[in-house]
Amino acid sequence: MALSKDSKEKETRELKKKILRLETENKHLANELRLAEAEKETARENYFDIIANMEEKVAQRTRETRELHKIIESKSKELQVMLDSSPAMIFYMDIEQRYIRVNKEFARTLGLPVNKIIGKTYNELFPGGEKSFLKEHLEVMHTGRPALNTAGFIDTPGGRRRVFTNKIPYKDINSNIIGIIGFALDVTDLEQAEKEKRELEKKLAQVEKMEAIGRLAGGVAHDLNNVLSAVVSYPDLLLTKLEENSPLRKSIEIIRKSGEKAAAIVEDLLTLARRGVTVTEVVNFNDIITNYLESPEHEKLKAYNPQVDFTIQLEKNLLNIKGSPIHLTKTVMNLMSNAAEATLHQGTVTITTANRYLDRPIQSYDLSVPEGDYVVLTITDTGVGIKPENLKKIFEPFYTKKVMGRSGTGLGMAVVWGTVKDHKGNINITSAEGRGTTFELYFPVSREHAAREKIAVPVKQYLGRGEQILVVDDVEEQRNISSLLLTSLNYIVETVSSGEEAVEYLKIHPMDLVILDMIMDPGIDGLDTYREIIKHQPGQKAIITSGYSETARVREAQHLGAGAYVKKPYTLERIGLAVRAELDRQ
Amino acid sequence: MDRRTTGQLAMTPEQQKDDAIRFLVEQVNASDISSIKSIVNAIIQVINDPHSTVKELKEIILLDPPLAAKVLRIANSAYYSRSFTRTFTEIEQAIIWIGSDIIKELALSQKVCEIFNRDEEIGTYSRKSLWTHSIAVALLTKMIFRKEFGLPGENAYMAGLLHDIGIIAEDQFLQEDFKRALQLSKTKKIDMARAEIETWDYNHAELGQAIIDSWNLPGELSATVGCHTDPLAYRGAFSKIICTLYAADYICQEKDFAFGAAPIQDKPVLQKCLKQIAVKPRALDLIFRGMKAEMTKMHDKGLF
Repeated sequence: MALSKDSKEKETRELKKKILRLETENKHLANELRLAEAEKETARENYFDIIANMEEKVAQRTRETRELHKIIESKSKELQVMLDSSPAMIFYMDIEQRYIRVNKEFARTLGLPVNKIIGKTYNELFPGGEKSFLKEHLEVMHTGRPALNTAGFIDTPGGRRRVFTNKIPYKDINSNIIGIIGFALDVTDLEQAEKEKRELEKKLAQVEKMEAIGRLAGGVAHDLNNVLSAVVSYPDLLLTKLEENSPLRKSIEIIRKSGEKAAAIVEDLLTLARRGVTVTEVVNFNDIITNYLESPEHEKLKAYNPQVDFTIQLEKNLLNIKGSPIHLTKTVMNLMSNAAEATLHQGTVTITTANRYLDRPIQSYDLSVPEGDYVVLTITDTGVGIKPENLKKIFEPFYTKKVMGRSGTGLGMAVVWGTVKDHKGNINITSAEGRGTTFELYFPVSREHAAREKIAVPVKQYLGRGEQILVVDDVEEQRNISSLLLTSLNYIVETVSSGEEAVEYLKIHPMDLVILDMIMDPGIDGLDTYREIIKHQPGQKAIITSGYSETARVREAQHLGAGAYVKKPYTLERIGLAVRAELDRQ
Repeated sequence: MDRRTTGQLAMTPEQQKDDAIRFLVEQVNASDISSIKSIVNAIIQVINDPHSTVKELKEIILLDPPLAAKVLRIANSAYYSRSFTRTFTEIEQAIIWIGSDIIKELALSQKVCEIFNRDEEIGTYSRKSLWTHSIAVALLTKMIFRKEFGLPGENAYMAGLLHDIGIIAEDQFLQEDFKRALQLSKTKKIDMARAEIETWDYNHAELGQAIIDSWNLPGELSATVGCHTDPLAYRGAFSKIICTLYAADYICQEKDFAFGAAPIQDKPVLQKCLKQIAVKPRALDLIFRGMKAEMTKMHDKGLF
């Protein structure tokens, strides 16, 4: 029992101990639990912080990504704008040669919207295009080397176009070749323009060359004229003084003819200089041709060229033009003569006139013919024709393919050229070797009426009545000629050698008429002289002479009151009529 | 010139002691022991800031690459990751997963370990045994706080870890004297603090406190380290942690976690301390067993 009690006490003690331990453990666990819960709370807060942080990070990344997308988009737009601003065609092509991106110019050239181009191959878009391009594309993709400045053609709705191309390999970010970036510049218009420019430059050089020659010829002609005046004028004077049956008459007439021929050459030269033409007369080309056909020159031409059949087709209601009948006649003459002489065997030379209205400019030998009304003179032969390489030289003075000597001065075609140019006309030539040549001359139409035919005037109609005339000329022969001619026409003639002298002379000796040379050197010219004269002798009658054609200064003098203008070298009739007319003018 | 020799003539023994301690502290602060300072400071800041987050802890850890590596290794270790198949690559995730309290301890012990762990045995003393002792005391102090007082005990852990920092300094800078002190403790069967007084007039607690003070660590830590060999002499606000640490130190030296010196003999002091903190011996015994089990587990997992 005691043992039992002992053991019971021991058990109770043990139990108490156990309870105490359990209580301690319980307390410890309770404390740990409380702490753990607090820690859990902290951890959770931390966790939420982290989550929030992560969310912020994700939002940040999203913003950054969106920003990057925007940048990429704007760069892409920028690229497209650049591509589209290019005057060249630009394209991206994939490895199968399908177009994956093209610029506006590319689409414009093809006349297709971009979406009709994307996905198509080169062959599909340019079925007739340059085949070598295909090989080139493959080569660029294969070797990775660009192909630069290769030329070829492509067919577009705008016709076949010549293009210069650059092709470079199109690489991805890892430098793998994934196609081609190509540039193609349409050089068709450029090359055409270049060609036209070169041709125009050639023509311009030709024109300039002829002008220079013309100026030179003009200079020579001016001096020659003074020399020739004596040869042309003295025979007239001598003949009036000779007996009808004088043995000298024949020789003098020969001298006169030669002089006239020489004057004709000078005239041609002056025509070249484009100073000798007065284009103020209204003429009808039909008259000119008719007159020519009746002339001894044409008879002679026919006689020399029996193998030629001349055909004439004149427009009945041909419009008038403004011009110089002499030069136009010469033009017809020269062209007819050339045409006939080019027809070596049996053939025809046809001369036609026509009214033609050009509603748009057409190409001619040198410059284009502007639109407008024209009288067209056409002279066609069935002769040997002109080689293309010679065509550009035919208007040069003294250029000939013919045997020299039988005809012409070597200036014939140059005269044609000068005449046409002076008449603001144009020339068109078509020629085929062995088949003949056609000259088409375009002259602008004038709406004025043709002047009446001139009739030869009897000498007595322009004889002087003892009026006093002062001849002003810096060249002595000229003064002598004028003096002799006018004296023979019953005028009283005084001469002075300069404008200044003339002014002084007239202050003391009033004269009925002054014959005033326009160009005097040194000293004041005709116009200035006339200006001085009328200061002291208002209304002084005067006529003007010059070796050159009528100029603005001549017109100015006429405006101030001077009368007719007489071109040197003058004949007795011309100067006589002019003097008489001026003296009789009220 | 030897300052201590010249000083002896003019200075009182008290002054001489202070001078000697100051000299040692200077040496400590010139050595890499002082690297403990910054990590301890940082951890204390995190502990004391109720708004501190994982982020701040992360920043501390990232400053110390070996520590960061260790945190990741632990987070991915079988002990923590258990059945999880995911691998932690970010410190932040690892901290959440392991728990910031453990991370704080890890950060502290890792650093202290670096200093303690240059092993060199002197008799039964080794730095490693001192390290194990420190960890055991730290863990036990913290566990008493948690289980008995229901407090987190983070400062208690830190105090436990650092309470013998004075011994480290002695070992490193006064090695011959230190060996003699150890010997003295063994032969005379007196605890280390007494043996030290006989050797230098001061003990490792005073030296430790001087070091802690020179690092500007909180007064609680300073007082605990300074009074842990003589807790009943302390009159102040931190007697709870001081008495707890004394009890933990006592028990650890007595059972299994001594560092080579003779155990503490003052049972009455222990009893008074336990009474003061109202911890029953059986409770202490129970917690000690829990701590030992934890130590074994940690050791087995290679966590220290």
